Amino acid sequence: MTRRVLLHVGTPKTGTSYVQDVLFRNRDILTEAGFLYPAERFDAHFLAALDLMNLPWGGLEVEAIGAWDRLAEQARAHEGTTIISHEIFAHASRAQVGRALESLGHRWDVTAGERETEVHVVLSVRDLIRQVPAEWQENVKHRSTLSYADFLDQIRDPERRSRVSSWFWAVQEIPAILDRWAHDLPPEHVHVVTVPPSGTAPEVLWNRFSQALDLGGLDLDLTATRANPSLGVPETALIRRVNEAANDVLVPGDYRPLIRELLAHQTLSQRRGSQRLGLPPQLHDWFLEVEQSWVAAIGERGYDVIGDVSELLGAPAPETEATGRATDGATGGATGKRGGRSWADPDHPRPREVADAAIDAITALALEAARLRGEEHRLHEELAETRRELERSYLRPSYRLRKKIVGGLETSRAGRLVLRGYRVLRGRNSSSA
Amino acid sequence: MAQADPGDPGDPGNPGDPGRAWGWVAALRSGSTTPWSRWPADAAPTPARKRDLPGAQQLELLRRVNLAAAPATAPTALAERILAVGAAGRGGPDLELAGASPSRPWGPRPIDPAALTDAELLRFVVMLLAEDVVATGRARRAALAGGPLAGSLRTAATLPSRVRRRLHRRDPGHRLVGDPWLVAPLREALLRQGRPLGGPQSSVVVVGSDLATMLADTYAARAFDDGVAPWHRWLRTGHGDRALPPRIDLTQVARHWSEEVGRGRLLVVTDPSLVADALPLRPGTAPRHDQVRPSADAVDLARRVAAPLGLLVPPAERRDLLRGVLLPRLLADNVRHPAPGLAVPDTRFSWVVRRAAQMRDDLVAAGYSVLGDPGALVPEAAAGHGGAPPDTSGVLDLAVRLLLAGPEQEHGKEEVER
Repeated sequence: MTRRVLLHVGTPKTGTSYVQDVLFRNRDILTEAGFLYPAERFDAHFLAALDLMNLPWGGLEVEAIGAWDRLAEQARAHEGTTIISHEIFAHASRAQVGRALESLGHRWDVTAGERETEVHVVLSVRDLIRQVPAEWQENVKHRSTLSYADFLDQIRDPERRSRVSSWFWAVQEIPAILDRWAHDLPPEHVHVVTVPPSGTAPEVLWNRFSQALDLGGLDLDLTATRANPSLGVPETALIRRVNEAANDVLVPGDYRPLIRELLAHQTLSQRRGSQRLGLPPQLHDWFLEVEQSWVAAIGERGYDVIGDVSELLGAPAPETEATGRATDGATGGATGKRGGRSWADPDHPRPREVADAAIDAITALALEAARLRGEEHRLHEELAETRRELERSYLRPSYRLRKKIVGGLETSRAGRLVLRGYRVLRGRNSSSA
Repeated sequence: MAQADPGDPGDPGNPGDPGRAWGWVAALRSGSTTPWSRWPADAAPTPARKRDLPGAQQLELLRRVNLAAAPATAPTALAERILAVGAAGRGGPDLELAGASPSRPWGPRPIDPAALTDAELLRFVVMLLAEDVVATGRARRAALAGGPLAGSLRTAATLPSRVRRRLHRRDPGHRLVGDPWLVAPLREALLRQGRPLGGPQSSVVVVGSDLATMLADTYAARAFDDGVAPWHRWLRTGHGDRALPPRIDLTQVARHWSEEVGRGRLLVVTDPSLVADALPLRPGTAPRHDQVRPSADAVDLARRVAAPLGLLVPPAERRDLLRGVLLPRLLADNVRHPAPGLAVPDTRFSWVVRRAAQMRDDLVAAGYSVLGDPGALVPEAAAGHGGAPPDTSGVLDLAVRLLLAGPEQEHGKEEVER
């Protein structure tokens, strides 16, 4: 039986959280079908990716030490198909990719048929028209205070000098990612999954993933329990302002559960009716040109495209009109209308909409504070009860007598020998008699 | 022999020449110091040895290591490690060698390695140093735990309990606070001699020095704990006109402890050379404060190594490795290659003098017992000029020297003999 590894290496914001959740929850069914999804916790492959790429991540890196080697070892030991999936693998440098593939048993210097392990690379991709705002929002949910205009300026800098720009292109530049991960693989072992346009039924994307991961015919539980939901314009603007105010005083360990999880994911992403983040209409052509060169490259290379590569070109730009508002940078000067709604600039959101979002946020935080107060009260009660129990045990005459005997014995050598003999006979050598 | 022009990497007509590049890689492996721009255009092509050409950063780093090792050759194993290393963190990607691969309209622009900055090369070399530090720590632990050296270290933890109890009965203990860099070796010396640190009846000794030195010491302590921002940024953003780092705000420290234990058990020491007199240390065992300060470049290298080290070991082990493994190596290097210590820049010096004078006056007015001249807290005008800020080029040179020295294999032996 050929050992096979299906490596899903990105890109972010292409339904990857959903795929990983389905794979994690259906591990037993996958195992019965000969697939291995080696994960004891839902983020196991994320930790492996951090370890492989030497990435710090708000303290999580401590839990990642050695995670890649453990994952690779499991894959090498499995005589069947192993699936590995995390979107930040897209960031790996050539040296890191080389190490990863080698540790999975891939040999670059032999022909495909001679290899011990057959590696397939899966890359899910979405048009930049949707990816650019999604990446900025992801930055904001990771404590960034960068305005949307500055973000757009930085990612269009041809020198890619900033950290934001460097990260963005490392995880979004499709042909470069495929160059790093798959330049020595047969094109039929490289599977490019395109994300369908907005409004397409959700099962269409899953069916594409299912085909890429060779899961057709398996009866998997596809209920979504873990997703990475997106925010609207006022909600994202609110989180950015919170970052500006709280970054210096809120440590990463508190930011993650309170701001990203409670506020962004559980509260603000549930709001309906807010305008969605979009690309400023005047920048569509710039990104479209980039996408066209990528589409051409993917077509020339003969990869296994699942979906339609032309979906990478994104939706057409909305019509633009001057707003007359005094704004600077990449987002200023124009708005677009699509379906009757203007393009909304997250650097200049409507104050009333942000205030509405803030009220929801304050309510959520107040409820969380109330829950924690309840928990604190319960713990105080528990502690007080424990103290009372302890006091009662101290007051028992038998305890006082034992304490007196032990105290007396400890003052002499003979007494200490007696105590030691007693503890040996009792079966433990603790001195806490 | 024609010399090569790396070519315009953005030129769409540039077909690239990986065979020539692999020839340069082979030469670097053998100790060559020739820059890529001078590598002959007509050099015989060499077959690939790996899946990918190493990045420009790894290749230039190996060339710098070869330059430092010359006329000797860098060890083969080290050369291979350099060529395979990845940088830690979210910085820029590995860059391709200009002229080695066909031009493409995507990806970062390929580069002539000579154009890389020292700071960029440091991102890679510190990963290797972090690995060396971990390897040395493991070798040391193995020597102490499993080998014939096991049990030969006499620290507080290994002293017989009856000795420890006797010492504790006689000595109510000392709590050391203040300048973290001065306090750490004193604590270790006390522990090594079985003396209690703290306790219900303990005295409190507030250890200080001139404020400019205490700022540098606090920064160094952070660099050797869990890493810290660059020196100038730390001075600018962390501790402006508003506040001093809490540990060296001696007025606040003394006030806090006088409320905790009473003035009678509090002593402020302003001259580090006198602090041993206030502690029950055996003669000649007190650490010499002026012998344990690393150079500005060494502190900067430590803070850079701290980041990737945190990816390899848990936080507590990181601190032990930085102080127990890296620091001695940096101090030893400073003997052979002396470099200035950290100094507060001129632009901040007047603020430091003003703040120190206020601290002196507050301590005197409060009436605490002081050992040493309270005026010693105020740095002299020339004090700042004895040191320097870290220099990136010097930091890289230092890092390369440590890299060439390699991890220590039997450090446990040295530790015991000490």
